Amino acid sequence: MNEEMAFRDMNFKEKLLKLRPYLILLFIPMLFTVLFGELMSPVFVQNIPIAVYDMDNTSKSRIVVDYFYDCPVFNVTENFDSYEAIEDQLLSGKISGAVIILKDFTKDLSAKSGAKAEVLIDGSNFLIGNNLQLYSSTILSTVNAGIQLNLLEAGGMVPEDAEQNVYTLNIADRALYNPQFGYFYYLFAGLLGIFVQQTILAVTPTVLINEKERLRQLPDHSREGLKLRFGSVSYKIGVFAMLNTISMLSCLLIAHKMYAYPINGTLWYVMLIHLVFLLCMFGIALALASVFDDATHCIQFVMFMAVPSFLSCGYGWPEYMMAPGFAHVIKAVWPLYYYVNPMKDLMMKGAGWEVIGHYVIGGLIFAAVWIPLGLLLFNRKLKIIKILH
Amino acid sequence: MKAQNNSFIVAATKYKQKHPLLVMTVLMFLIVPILSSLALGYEMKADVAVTIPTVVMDSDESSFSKSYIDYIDNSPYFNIVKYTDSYEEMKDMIYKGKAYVGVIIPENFYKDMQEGKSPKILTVYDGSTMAVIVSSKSSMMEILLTVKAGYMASVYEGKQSVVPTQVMNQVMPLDYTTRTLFNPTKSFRNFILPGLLAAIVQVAIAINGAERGWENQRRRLSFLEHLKATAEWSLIGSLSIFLTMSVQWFVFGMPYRGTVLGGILLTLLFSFSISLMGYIMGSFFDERTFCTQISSILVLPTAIFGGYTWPVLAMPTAMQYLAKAIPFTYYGEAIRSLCLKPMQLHHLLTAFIAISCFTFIELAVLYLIKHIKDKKLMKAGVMMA
Repeated sequence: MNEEMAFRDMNFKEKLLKLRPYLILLFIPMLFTVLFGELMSPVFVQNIPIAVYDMDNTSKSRIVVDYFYDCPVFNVTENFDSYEAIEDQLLSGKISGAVIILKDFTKDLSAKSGAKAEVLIDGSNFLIGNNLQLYSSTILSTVNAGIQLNLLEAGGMVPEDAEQNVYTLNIADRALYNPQFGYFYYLFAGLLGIFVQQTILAVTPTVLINEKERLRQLPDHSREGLKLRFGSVSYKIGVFAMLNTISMLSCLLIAHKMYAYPINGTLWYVMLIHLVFLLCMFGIALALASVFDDATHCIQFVMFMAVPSFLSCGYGWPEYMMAPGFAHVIKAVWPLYYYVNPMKDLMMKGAGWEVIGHYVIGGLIFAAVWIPLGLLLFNRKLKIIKILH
Repeated sequence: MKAQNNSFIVAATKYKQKHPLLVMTVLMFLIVPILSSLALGYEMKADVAVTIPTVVMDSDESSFSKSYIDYIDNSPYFNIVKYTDSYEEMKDMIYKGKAYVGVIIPENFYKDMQEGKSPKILTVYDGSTMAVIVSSKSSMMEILLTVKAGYMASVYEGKQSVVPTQVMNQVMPLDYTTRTLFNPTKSFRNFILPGLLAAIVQVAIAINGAERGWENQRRRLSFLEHLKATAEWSLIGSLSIFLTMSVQWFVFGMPYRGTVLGGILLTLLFSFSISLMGYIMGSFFDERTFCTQISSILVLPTAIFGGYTWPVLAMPTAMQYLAKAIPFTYYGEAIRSLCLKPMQLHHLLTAFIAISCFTFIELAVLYLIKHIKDKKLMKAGVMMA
């Protein structure tokens, strides 16, 4: 009975191993879409911990402090009695900023000699720092406007005129394609590119490495063996590509349905960009399969490429800001640029051919160079390992 | 030449087949991280998103609107690439990625301003490019406040007869200054690279831990010997982090302002913790490739789950708990802070405690796995001496 159980267990494990590439391709991207979508689901950064050090502690200074309490962006603490204590908390990261209202605040305000306040911002985190700067400026400008109104009225200006003068110059913001500056909206196309890249490279080179090993064992000029397995390899890679495409579309659908991710482009363009990218990936997979003889080592290398390829593909750091020559090199050696950028434009802007066209053509040129190059490297490596054996 | 090339490749292939561990170690701990550091450091040489392509639509064409545009033009953050008289053209330029910011000054703006009609300058951003918005939004606000202060000064001088020496106190009755500490230039490179370069090496440490765990799975080793193996490899991982970061410090001038001792100790502890995690995977799962895959899946997304870019405090509560259970959450933040802030050892206390707790849990898990698995393997008679 126990032996039978062990046999069944073994059988199940073997089946699972065979299914693993398909499961990785299909479900890992979906799982991470849900997790990342959930993680970035709050649109705004709120509850930023800040310190308020009110050295004046008068009714007027408390009015300013109350503004910060009322703003949902901030989580205010006031247990500080020295500048050093605030600095220490900023260094340990327990607070992200501080508002310091200097002594004689009310006195200076009454004397019209410029009541002093200071806002300290921990600039080590961009997203927090910018929110802090933006909202603290808004609060303090509002306070300033209120005081200015009083001053102008006190100077003999009628209230209506005073109000018009104080609120006369304003700025209105409008963010096209991402009105709430949602972080998930901005990041998702990039993440999707990484999902597609990592999953396809986690499975395709393995098939090619196994095939390389099989071809090594065949006698030279054995056409029968080549024909026989060429079909099987193409079939496997075709299935991988299909599952990868299904997974990509499912991720888009999940992001759209669960996290309101915009899908503005046409499905045909999505498929076109995806197909071109898969061709590019095939070229890269061939090159990797020719370099590595051990499938596990190849996968290890592939896992490495996720972060560097994402940071260098012109997604987070736009192409125009890259150092001279960098963009040319990166476009020639790694194809993620041709996927994430048009995908973002397609999804968020509903871009047409005039925007994505050059990415598609660039991707096709990449594939046209890398697939023959990959085949060449693969064949050469095959010859070498045949010599070695 | 071809024969020479071939003989070189044959020799390299032979060497690789003979010394796979050495080749992979050099590739994972030296070549890829250092090359990544060099390439990414060079890519982000500009540090801050400056000269943002900007399109301007000045429908007012008054002296005031021209001086406002001059402010934008003189700002290092903006590069006016086009003056247009159509909103459609502006939108089209942003749509095609030729501009990221648009400024619209409406018709009769200055006249309306003088008549107190509160006209508005409209700023349009390409919301799909975050690095640009981060720089441009606050810079645009600064320009507006400067121009507004100038205008209010003229109101006080003209309509209220305030003497010039007193004007600024009335324009800014609350005279506040904003100081951005630790990264005053808002360098994107200093913000993003310290943690993400560590995240690249983290993958190598975890994968390597998994490989060693898998190799030692069927060897009869004491628990201490397992720990020794993990510690030795985590030391190499730490060295790799230092080398990768050194490229930033010495080649690209990234600062390191914190405690050196604290940085070294925390890196050693972090590397040991991640190595242990990989080792556990390698000890638990039977299939070698799967060990690599599962270790990578556990550490790769931590750069995002750990709140390195999207902060932990902005995550939903459940995700905050998840983030707090990841060593990278503490290390990523700490390594960035050590680079940017003059931190002392006691400022790293939370990170030390959190990663230590994680390490103790891992040690207990590894002990349990080894205890159970060794028994099983001994019973099956597959344990090697």
